[in-house]
Amino acid sequence: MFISACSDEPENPENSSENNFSGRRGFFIINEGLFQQANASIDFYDLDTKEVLHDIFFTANQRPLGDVAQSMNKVGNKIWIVVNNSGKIEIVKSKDFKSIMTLTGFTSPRYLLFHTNGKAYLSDLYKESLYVIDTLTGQTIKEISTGKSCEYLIEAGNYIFALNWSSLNDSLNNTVTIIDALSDSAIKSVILTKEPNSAAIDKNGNIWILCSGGFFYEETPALYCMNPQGEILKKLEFFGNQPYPTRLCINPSRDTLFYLNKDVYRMGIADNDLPSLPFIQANNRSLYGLDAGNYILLSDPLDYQQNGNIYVYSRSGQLLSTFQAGMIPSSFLWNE
Amino acid sequence: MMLIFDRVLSQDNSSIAHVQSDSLQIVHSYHNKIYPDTIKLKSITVSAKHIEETHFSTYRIPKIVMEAQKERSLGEMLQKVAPIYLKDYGPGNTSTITLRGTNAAQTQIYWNGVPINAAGTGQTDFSTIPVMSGDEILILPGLISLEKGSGGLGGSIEINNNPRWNEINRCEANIETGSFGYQSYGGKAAIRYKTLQSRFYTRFQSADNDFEYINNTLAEPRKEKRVGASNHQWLVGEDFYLNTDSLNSIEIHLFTQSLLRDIPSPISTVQLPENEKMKLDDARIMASWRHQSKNQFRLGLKSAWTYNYMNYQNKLAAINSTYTTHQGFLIMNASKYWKNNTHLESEIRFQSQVARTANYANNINRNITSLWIKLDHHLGSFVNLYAGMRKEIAESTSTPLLPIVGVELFPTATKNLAFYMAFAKNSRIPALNDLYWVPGGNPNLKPEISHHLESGLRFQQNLLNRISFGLQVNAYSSRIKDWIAWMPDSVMISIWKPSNLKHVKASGFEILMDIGCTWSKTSLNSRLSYAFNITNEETEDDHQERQLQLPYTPQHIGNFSLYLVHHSFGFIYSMNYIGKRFINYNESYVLKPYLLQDVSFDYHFSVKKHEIKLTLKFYNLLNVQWENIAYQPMPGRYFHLGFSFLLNH
Repeated sequence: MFISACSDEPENPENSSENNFSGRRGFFIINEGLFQQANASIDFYDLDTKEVLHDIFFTANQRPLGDVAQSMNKVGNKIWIVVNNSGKIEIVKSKDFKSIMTLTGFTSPRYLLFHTNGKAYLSDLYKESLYVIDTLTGQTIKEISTGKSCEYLIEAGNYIFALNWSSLNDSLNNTVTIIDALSDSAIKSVILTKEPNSAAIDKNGNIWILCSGGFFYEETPALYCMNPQGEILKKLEFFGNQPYPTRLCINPSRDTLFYLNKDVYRMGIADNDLPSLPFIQANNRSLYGLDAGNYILLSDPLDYQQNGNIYVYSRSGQLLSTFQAGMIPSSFLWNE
Repeated sequence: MMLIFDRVLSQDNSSIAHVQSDSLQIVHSYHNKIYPDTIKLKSITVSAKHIEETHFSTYRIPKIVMEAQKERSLGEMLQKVAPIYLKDYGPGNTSTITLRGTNAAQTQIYWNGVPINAAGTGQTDFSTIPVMSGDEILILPGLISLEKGSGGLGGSIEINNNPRWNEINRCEANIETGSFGYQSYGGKAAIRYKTLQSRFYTRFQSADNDFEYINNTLAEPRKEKRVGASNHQWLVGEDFYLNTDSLNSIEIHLFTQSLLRDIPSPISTVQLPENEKMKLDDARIMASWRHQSKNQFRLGLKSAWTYNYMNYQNKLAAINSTYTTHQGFLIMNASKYWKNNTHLESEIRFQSQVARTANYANNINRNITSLWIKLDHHLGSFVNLYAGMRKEIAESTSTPLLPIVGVELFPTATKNLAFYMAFAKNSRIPALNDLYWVPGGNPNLKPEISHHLESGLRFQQNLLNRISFGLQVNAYSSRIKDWIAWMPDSVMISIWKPSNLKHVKASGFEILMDIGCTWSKTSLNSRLSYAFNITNEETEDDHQERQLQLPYTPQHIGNFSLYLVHHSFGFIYSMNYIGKRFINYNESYVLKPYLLQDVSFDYHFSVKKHEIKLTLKFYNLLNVQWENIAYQPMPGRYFHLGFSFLLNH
């Protein structure tokens, strides 16, 4: 009568064989996973063999990645994975994803920026500052006060542009804070449109910032072009029925911008108008992730309750392949 | 003294309709001393004219179980004794039901006939319903729930208060203490004067819930202590019964509670003790009048008011959200018996909902009218025919006619064996949050529609007035279309919106077996239950099944409980098995099965006319590490020590 079954953490049925990503042409997929379900994962797609390796972090380390994988950066032979709701950064070897170190003590980390000065800057949804991290030791050196929550970070020479996307604690969420990376201090704040969510830097060194207009469509969404000094060069306003543009990115030659606004749009950096026709139509897909690297990569999380789909397009917009990823695939990192 | 089996001679005015067997087995036990509220009847044979009502699958929680679990919540008790899965976020924290593969909003909860599901979410938090607030708890899985109201696509659960006219005046005090800072102080008082009866109960309960668990999500798994998981609950209830004459009776029921809980973070996330808090206040009152004429005509009038207040605070996210609802009910029912073989019943229910929250654009008022008519007809001694129809009219939401038809066959003259088959259509109108929540609410939502087919058998047998055996087997198949699911908007992905996206098929079977025996001053009762369920989602386009079990829907659930009473000693053993559960739609992550075992010892003795009872309970005897929700750890082995003092007069 007295028998028992043990119960551990949720188990993942993936096999535990080791992977090696060195020299393989392909990309990593960040699967956010469901909030508070701790089913974030990383997949790898090999462009040559068309092989998909699922949940490579679990395979390498035999433990789940955590709760809501937010972003991923490659520095040298290491990959830093920001796991938002777990409040941590996992540092792994890029060749096999074996864990090197776990940085903890953050509340809600979002994006990392590795500056040429050898330091890493980390945004946190619940902090009105940026963490400055020593990339060698993983230690937090200092915090840069920004006065408001920061989100996406982009480097422009000696400046860091920190997008103030969140309106948490009623802070302004229509600005970009410019930080001097030499002195590690915020030098000015520029008013844009509500919810600046993504940014890209073009071949001329200008910074493009996409603003979605606010959670309740309070303002007309807009795409800004700024010079590295923070002066606005161009403002292009969106039109149509409740546009909500996101995921601004740029191609490798840095002359063509791409973004999501239900469909995929593209425009040249010299264009003075936003495109009216989509480059790739969503066609009943809920497009969520976009990357415009060597190929156009799109993700569709379906109903956000099951594994999502990845679509690989050529630069001319031809669909090349489709495969299934993990829960809520949201962004990509090229294995270069 | 105790009655076993599900259908017992109840003491209210509807007793005639509940007499099932030709003889009722009565087991002597020491409980006639310690639980004087139970019925004291001589063994009888009921052969007089009576009407049997068709019940299909109905599970009654035995009184001995309710008494043993009276300090627990309804959720905690059901997990031990019923083939039901509760999604439990931890001791004292939110607990929602999964019945026959459905979600929590698809199980309706009735308190003395009044639906008490939250108007906003449509769900009920089972951790907020104390077992001690009811005298009778019935589980009506599947189609039979339509008899009480619509919306119970998975079924319904009834919590009823009944008069106990044989009860003497008494006063009872209970104290329990135990692991993880658990404390409970409660009391009951019952007074009867002629045809007036009053019963009062109250309880304060709190726990720190600072148990240890192993965190396997870390690079190096380690033992941690749960933080920010405390809860405090205070409740008061009062029941009045008055028989104004032999044909008329009045009941008034009141219940109020206040609950404050910390919401612990999943262990996979940043641990922020006391960052999230929830305060819940509930109050409800119900008054009813019942009339039974001499020509087998009954009339009932019931009015009720329920109040729910919820405040949720998240310091870090700067959220301080309040939700308040008031619901008023007016319920009229009438029934008539003809020639002892036909029973016609009808009911009309008016429900008015008022909800206030900053998350609605305006205060919401919604009126719902529900009409019900049912006919039971006996064809000879061996066949019962059953037909019913419900229509619900809700503002801005159109629901179809909801029929239920069934047949019961009794192949034996003693009617101790019954086979049944039934079909029903049910519907659930969207909850207020589904329609009006800002952002995301979708006022164009359609009601969920379900079709059910069910069949089963019931058998009960008594041997030598000492051994009793009961068996219920039910098999079911149901299909729910236009299942309401929240998912991110296709453009603004940070906003979740509900839509009628899914079509779900559920099928399975349940087995419930009771065995009881008594000899001299010893009685032994056991209950074994098992449920098997397959719940698949169909794709929207071609209605192909995905053949994947829905998340948090175990295929296998099993329970076993054993109650042994010998002289002044009592022993209870219970075992609860939950099979593996997938936590996502792809079946790629799974929670392992678990088997929990509890034991309880009690001893009672008398001091003059008064009773003292000591209880020692051990939960999770084998210290299993288990989870009902991924990354929400549950406690290992722990104990409760109880003391009861019963003052009889």
